[in-house]
Amino acid sequence: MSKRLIFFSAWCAFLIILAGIATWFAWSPFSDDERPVSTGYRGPTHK
Amino acid sequence: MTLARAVTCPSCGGSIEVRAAGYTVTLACRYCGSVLDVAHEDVRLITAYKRANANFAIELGTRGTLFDVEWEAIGALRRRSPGAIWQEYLLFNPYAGYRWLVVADGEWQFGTMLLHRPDGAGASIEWRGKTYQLDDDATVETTTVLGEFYWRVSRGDRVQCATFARGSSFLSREAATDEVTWTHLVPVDRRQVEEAFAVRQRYKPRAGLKAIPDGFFKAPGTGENDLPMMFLMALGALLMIGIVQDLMSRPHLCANNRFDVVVGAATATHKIGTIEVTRPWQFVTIQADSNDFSNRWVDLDYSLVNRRTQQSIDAYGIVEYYTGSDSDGPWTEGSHHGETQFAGVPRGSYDVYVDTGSHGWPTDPPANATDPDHPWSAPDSISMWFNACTGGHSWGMFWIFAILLFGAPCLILWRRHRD
Repeated sequence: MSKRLIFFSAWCAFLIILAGIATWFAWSPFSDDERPVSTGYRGPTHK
Repeated sequence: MTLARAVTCPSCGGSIEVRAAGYTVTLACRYCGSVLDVAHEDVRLITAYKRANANFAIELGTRGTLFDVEWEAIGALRRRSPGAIWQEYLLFNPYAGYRWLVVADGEWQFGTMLLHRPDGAGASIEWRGKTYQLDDDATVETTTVLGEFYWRVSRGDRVQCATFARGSSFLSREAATDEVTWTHLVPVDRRQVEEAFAVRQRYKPRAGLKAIPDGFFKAPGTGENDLPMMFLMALGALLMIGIVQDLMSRPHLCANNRFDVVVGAATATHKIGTIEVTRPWQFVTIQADSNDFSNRWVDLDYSLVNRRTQQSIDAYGIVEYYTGSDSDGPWTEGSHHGETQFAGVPRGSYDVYVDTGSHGWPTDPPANATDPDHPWSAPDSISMWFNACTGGHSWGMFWIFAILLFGAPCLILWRRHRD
């Protein structure tokens, strides 16, 4: 096993642990927050 | 020192110097990367590819002294076998002829073509009274060609290459369809090559790692072919992360309810139900589905109210769907489904509330409108169904980990194929 592969294995293990910690604390930067302002007008945006 | 002549590249018009005129058969244009046949008077264009770049450790045309002879690097090859990738440089001196300089894994070798073949066959051969043992036998493919050569060479050329070792000295036998060539390779000190040929900085070991024997440094584009293993490990780690996220986010305890939301009416508050967060922290995910509607949107303001402390955690969502037709034809936008996720909800019992408000596009329907022809018709409303569950995991986090895992092998793959 090359040193690069050993380093990459350590990186994979680190990310798995990080994922475990983030899941334990139910942390995510993508969660939805409170509505910042009143809704206002909406409508289609693709045109 | 050399008998140089200039030729014009038929692909880009660039003027290229042939340093070993009379010997050189194939020449790659240094401006556009086209490979030229300079053995013909009219200089044929053999093949052109956009990026025969100078991603080599030694710049072609560089002169350096090795073993008391001044050599000029006139050609460079990048080659690979199933287990390795390396670079080879063709050196030229008008009095001494051609030599090879080979770099693999940051180690350099100096190669001399043999005029007399070694004796013997199989796993053991003899040359100048010394026995060499078979070390490797593999198909070698040329992946990049740059510079000029004394034989016809092109990207994709394959030869069967057997290497015989005696200590740090090697004999390499390359068998093509029409000929067999032998080369004697001896190790040459890395620092000596770096000083002689001004090896590009990024191909040198990093200063902090110099003291490490067989150090971490791998010259870019060389090194063991461990890329498939890296992709496999990344895939395995991603699966593991998915399993960890799924197992650690349980249990899934849900509450659901259904409400009608009147379009254009004032915001109304509804209680979806009560859920229990049984872990120290959990995600809470609320799915909202609706019946079929068009050109409406529903604002959804959720609140998780802790029954013990009465503290509220808020989040919002929206369900919207629009249709129409214009010069490009009919179009749709939005969805009848919405998902809202709360992160880091602490342990406790929560009442789940939703404030709903719906509006029409481009305008709300008239309030309390009644159709004289249908006086008993129901007001314009949207049926919403909500399902609030503890657990679940963040797909955003999952894809971030996927990028972090596959980033390194993808970067290495890109650097290899950049050539």
